[in-house]
Amino acid sequence: MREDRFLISELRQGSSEALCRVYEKYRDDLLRLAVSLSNDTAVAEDIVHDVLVSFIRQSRQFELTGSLKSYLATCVANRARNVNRAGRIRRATSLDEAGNAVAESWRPDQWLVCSEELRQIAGALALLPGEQREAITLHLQGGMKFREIAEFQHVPLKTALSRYRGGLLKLRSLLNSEVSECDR
Amino acid sequence: MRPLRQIKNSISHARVELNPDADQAVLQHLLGELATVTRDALQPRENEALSAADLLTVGCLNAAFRRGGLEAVEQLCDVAAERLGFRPERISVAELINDCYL
Repeated sequence: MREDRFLISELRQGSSEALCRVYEKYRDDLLRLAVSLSNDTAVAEDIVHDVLVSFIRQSRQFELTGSLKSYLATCVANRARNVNRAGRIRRATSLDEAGNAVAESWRPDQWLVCSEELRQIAGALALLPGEQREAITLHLQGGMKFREIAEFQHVPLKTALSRYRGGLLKLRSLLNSEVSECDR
Repeated sequence: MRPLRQIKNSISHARVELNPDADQAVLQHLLGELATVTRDALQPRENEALSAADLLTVGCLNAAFRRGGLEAVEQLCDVAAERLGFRPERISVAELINDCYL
């Protein structure tokens, strides 16, 4: 947290080293989160890029009140919601179809290359209801506390917790059923 | 059967792989944005009230050149372009990377 405060203060002065440090520190986490929320590498890249550009444009007025990672994760989740509402994300109905959505979107000019593990996780998450997917990814990938997630989703703390637990159990069932299919 | 702990660990730490050239292109673009923000913040206040047409008069360009040479003239042109709405609001990562490779 102390490092983040120092980086923000340096960014306000226009320090490119501070920007490079923020980028290296949070880029992977934000991309992982964006892919998990959108199940599409091109959309995930645009989301993260837009979030970072907005952050830079507001950097001179930005006041850090909590964790920078949580703030950036919230921005990514907000944009993913907007993209979802605009219908840019395909809805999958099976684990195979969901996993293929990421694999099929490979482009020669792409920034993020989805690993098999990330593809599988994103595919499984895509089959969950949006609120459960958000609760899981924001906690495990965005590093957000459940209180922050509840605030973000405008629900009581208990609801956020139950979405997280319910989503994880469903995810386990999906991923383990894929494993048992492969074992046959 | 995968335990929950392992699944949570996979979600938290699923490997992210990047195309190094594209990654550099994105970082350079972000550094460019930072430079623009910093430059805009240092722009003299007198330019705020002027329209794009006013900024590009011979008098203004001359004054900028005397103040800071060609760099100041370029900055003035950028401000005018922005007032005219030439600066794109957003660029997709794919367009950004393609531009760098051209």
